[in-house]
Amino acid sequence: MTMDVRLLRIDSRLLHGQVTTNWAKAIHVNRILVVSDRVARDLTRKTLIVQAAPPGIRTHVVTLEKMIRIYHDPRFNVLKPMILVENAVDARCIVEGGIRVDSINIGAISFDNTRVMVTDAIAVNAADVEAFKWFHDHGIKLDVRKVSNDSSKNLWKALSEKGLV
Amino acid sequence: MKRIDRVYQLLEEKCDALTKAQLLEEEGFSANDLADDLDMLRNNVSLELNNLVRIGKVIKIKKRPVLYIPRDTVQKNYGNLVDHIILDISSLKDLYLGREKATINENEDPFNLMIGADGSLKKIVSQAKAAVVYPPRGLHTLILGPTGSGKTLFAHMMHNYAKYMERMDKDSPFIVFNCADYYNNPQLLISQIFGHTKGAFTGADRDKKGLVEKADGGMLFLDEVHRLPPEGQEMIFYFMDTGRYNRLGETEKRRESKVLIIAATTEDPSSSFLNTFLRRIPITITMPSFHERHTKEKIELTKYLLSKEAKRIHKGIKVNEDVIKALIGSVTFGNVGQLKSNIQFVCAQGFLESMESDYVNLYVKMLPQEMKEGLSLISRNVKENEEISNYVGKVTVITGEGSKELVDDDVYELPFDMYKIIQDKSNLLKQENVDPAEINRFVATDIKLHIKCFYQQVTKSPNMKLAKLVDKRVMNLSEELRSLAESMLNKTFNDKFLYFLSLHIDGYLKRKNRTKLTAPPSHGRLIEESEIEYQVALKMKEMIEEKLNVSLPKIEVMYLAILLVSANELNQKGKVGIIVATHGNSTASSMVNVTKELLGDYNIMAVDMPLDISFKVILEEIVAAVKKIDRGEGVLMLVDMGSLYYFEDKIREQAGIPVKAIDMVSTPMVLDAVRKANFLDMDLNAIYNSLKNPDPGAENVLKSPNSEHKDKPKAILTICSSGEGTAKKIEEMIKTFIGDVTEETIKIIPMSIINLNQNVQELQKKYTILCSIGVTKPKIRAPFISLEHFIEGEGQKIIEQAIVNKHLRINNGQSDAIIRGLCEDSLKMMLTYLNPYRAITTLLHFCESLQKEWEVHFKNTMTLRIVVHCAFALERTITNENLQYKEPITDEKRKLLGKVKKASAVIEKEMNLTLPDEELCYVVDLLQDEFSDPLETQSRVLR
Repeated sequence: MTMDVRLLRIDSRLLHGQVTTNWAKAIHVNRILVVSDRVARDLTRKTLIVQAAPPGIRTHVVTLEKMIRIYHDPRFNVLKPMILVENAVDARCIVEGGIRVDSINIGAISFDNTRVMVTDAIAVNAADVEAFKWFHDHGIKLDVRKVSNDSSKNLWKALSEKGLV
Repeated sequence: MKRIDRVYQLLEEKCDALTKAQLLEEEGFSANDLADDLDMLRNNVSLELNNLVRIGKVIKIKKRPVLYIPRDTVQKNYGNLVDHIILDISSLKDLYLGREKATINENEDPFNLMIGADGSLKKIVSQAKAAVVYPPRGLHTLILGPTGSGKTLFAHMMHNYAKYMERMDKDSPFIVFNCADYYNNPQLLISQIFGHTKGAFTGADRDKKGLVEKADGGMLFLDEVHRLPPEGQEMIFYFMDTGRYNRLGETEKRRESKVLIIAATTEDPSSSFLNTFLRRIPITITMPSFHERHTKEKIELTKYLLSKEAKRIHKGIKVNEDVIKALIGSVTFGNVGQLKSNIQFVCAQGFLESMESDYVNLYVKMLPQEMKEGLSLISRNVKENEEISNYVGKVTVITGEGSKELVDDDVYELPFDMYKIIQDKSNLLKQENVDPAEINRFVATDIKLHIKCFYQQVTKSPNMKLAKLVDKRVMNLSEELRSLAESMLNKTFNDKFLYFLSLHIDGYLKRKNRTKLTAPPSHGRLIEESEIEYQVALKMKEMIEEKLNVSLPKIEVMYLAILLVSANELNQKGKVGIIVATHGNSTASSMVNVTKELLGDYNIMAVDMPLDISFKVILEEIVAAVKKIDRGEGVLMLVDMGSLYYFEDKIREQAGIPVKAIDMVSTPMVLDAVRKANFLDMDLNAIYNSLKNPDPGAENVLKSPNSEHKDKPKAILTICSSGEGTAKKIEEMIKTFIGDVTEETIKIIPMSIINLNQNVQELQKKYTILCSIGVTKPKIRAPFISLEHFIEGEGQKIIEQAIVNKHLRINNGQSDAIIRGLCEDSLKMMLTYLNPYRAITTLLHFCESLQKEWEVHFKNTMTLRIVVHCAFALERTITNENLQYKEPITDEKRKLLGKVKKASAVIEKEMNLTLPDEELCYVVDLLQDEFSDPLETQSRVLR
């Protein structure tokens, strides 16, 4: 047995406000794991995220490597975490590292110079598309929802419509 | 013979004819069964049986057909199974099996059944095993441990182990005797243990066996053995050494018995009584208190006790994570025994409320106040809180299955079927058409009374002693120091002096950086004025240094001398008043009581703040208390949670008296404050600063402003591992902030932790360092702010304080530079459409009006959460992609939404954007999560 990953969510804003809280409550997690090499190295942001986490749920910021390590460590089997990653590439990295999920939730990926908008909250670049393709090929569902009770949309469809895959 | 007696007689005969097991299957006889044999009409038999039930001779079993069984028969066969006030039960079998102890597997080590046998009990279990198997007949053992820690159970397990290892016969006796039972009559007590001969004393009209005789071949467990009178002790020791004894009234010790004695006591192991015992009894086992148990065990114990209740009520129990925390957190001196009584109380309450449903629900709201406080206690212990969350889910369902009774005569077991009583009472009231809420209140009071009066017999009252607060060594040393002082000064010092002395030494030992200080000049004349006391103090210093292996700075000698001088004068005039204000019904009062008990009457007052009293009322109460207690030197407030801390100014204004608040409170802290105010005559600011920064230098640094540093430029250090990343970031953030607060130039120096202390020393030559912020505390005498505190918002106050302390001018006007910096840092990378700088300004205004509207204070982290959440909400509004809110909107929520909406007017005004209600609902949730309790109270007040 390994830990029961309740949700793997891609959101470039990582942990922010009530949206995260809403998810955490809806799917009964007992831990929030923010997985990002960048943030784990940035002490200020790391502390900031931990401090601003919803009350009552412990939050940790870990690197990708550590996430994979603790996932396979039986001492952490009791965790029922929600995992937050910044982008699709990081998500792929930990799934390749052995973390088992059958769907990935995509909240928002902010726009920048390298990316194009796919839906109004999600922008992708070539690397993202590559990662999403990989997920699709491995039968992992790409579930677009902001909060838990939104109706689910399939990102693959949106990507196909835009001719990106 | 009357008809009723005939019916009873036949029923009794019929039942007695069956074996215990058969009877359990049959459960009794119906009116029909009896009617034929008696040659009476079934109706008449039934009538008489019901009469018998009414007078309590027969128990009715509500089955089809209805069965009857004599109460005496039940008593005889199954013991105290059905309480005398219960007339009918649903099944004898279920009741009995429910209570029957688990059949202990013959091939299993009985100790394995104990929770914690491979955890916190591991060591004592192996000790106990060794004691039991030690040839030829095992070693006598003394079990030490606080009330309710499981001494009796443990002794039982030792007996089971002896049987398991075939050291004792399967049917060897295990006899429990509580020495406290006959405490008032030593003779009777001894005769209980050793027996007596006819005529040994008045009233001894025949020979009587003692317990040592009955326990031959087994174990005798002497509980509360410290209550044994000296002559009894001698006899026990003799018996332990030789195995021989005599009955009371016999002259020669000719009788022999092979008994393993297990003695138990709650007494302190170093008390004079125990010295003898420890010397004579080879094995000493110390039971851990509940708090010394591992968190996992605490949870297992809680679950185990809950499942026992589940078994009794034949229903599953759904228990909320927070309830488990509260149960664990509210255990104090009573240990597992207390946990058990608390669990029974909560289950009874839950049972009452969920009589109609299949599950008993336990949730936080139903807990009595003192247990709710347990929750807040636990939530302050981050590590334990987290561990509990790891082990238990949000809601745990507990069933009666698998719960095992380890022993059958547990003194902590309630002697009656509480749940039955509840059910009967509430059914009765329901028939009378009593309002359900009324029923609940009525029955709940009843349960409380039942449980209370039962446990008061079992547990003893707590003894709050100084020993709990300071180290034993220090206590002993202080005793010696007192006699030294008494003989040298030729006068007596009371216990108060002793308490103070031990607290002072203990406090000194606990401070981390014990640096040497020179005596403050203001006290210089003391040496001349009180020459003798100073000499005594020097002697005391020698003694302390020798005994504790520390070196005592000169300043400490001064304090000791001051104490010696001032020990006899206890005038309260002109001293700083102290107010302790904490949440909860009695937390503050109990701390103040302890203080008064230990240090005598001082100018101190408690203000209890029950959670259901509105903040306004409490504020008024505090202002009144401040006025009452002030002796012209100002008042120091020790408060437990933030809210009051921020109202320091308001209280000062309303009372017209100088007030300082510290938002930290604990008994040692209150003691320290009183000590400083009363014995050391420190003034308000000095006490405040010394409590705020428990740094040995602080007290003096503030008294004698260090003129030597006056001309050096001021600096603040920011520290991170590299000195580049975080340290630079903090620098940026506080730069603007400092610019806002003061006009003096303060240099901010980012530093790396490599060679930190060396570099800091260098810097100290050039700069006066006001404070440092970052990841590691450098070795300097200046306040340090950790990154966490800095972000949470306390940092700002400390920096201000540091600036004030160095006599720099502070501009009026608040600055929001730090929180603004934090928000910008979180948002600038992530917003797509909004300009973060503009948005933050507006959202900070929004937070301000929210705080006003809700009458609460936001920590920085709270502000940060709201600003970040709302910034994204605003973006969603721009793109018309707002979140849907699908939770039900209650009236209460609607009311709160109104308030948030009112506050959000500022967003509309400044940004010309309106957040829809749905988005605002999430803000309501956010606020509710953080302030749930006060808000509830508030909305109740509003209604």
